[in-house]
Amino acid sequence: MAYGLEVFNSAGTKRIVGNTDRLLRLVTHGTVTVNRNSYVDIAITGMANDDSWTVGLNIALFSGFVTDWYYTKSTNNLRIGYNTSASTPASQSIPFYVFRS
Amino acid sequence: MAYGMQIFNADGRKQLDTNESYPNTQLKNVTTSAYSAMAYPPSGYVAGDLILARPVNSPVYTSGGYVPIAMGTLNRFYGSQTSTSSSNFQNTAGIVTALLKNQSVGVGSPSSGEYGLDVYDTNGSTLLFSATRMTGVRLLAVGTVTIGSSVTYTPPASLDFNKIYAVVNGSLMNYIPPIGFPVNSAAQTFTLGYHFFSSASTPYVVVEHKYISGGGSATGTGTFTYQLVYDPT
Repeated sequence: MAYGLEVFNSAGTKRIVGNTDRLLRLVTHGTVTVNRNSYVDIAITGMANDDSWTVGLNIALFSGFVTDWYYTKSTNNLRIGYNTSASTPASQSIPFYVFRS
Repeated sequence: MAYGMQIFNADGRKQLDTNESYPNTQLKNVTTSAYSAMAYPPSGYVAGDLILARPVNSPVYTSGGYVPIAMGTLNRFYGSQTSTSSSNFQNTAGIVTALLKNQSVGVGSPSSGEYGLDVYDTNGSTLLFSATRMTGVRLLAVGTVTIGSSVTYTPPASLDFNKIYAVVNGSLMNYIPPIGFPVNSAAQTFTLGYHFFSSASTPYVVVEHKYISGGGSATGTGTFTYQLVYDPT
């Protein structure tokens, strides 16, 4: 027996949700200010380090060191950090998005 | 006794869960933008939206045979006519963009005689899921790519490749030519984005995260978060 939700359009000709689909559900979003070579912890109830949790970071526009951003998922916590030894800004704001699927 | 609704898909993934009260997402503002004005973010964007993009159905390709999809500079997508250096790839065919918003906002009342499933939060007003008044997306691939690495995603043949979107929040592509005077500087290439190989016999997407300066490729632990989603309509 298959489980899941199937939804068709009003004409019944197109399946818009299938019973094997992973759907994105928005948990929360916001913006944090992170100091250089540091991180910020954000409490996310229920968060776990597994592939049902997805995080998006909106990195700063055109910095030579944009690749130094990182995030870490752990139990009930999201850590967003910014590591660089270069002369980048002392702190940067970064929007983040948390999804479950 | 607990009330509410939980729906799991055949793989055990949650599709709906009123206990969590996380709204599903909806695809909005699907727009084709011309080469002359591929604005980033697209019109209609508000904080909290994910920005989606894909090549047009009849794209132009780089010499490498792909369409690069990412944010560029000067508030344009990479490849736009007004996105900085002429040394960059020129995406003269344009781009298709969309916004992924949550389903709890901007929802009208159901029309008379409408059928379908609507699921509300326990407050009775926050819509978590609507089957008929908004269309969500299907998550195809998600993950992170560290600097110096790439990931290849090949969708199943059953999917229409022209309905696959990349989430471009956090992406970036740019090429800075070398400068010889007054200060020598090497050429730099930033790639945190997607390469759509639409014309391959089996189309695929490569997620790239590379920073090249003076011919040398950097490595490190920096993260590029990628997502590929599918428009089921």
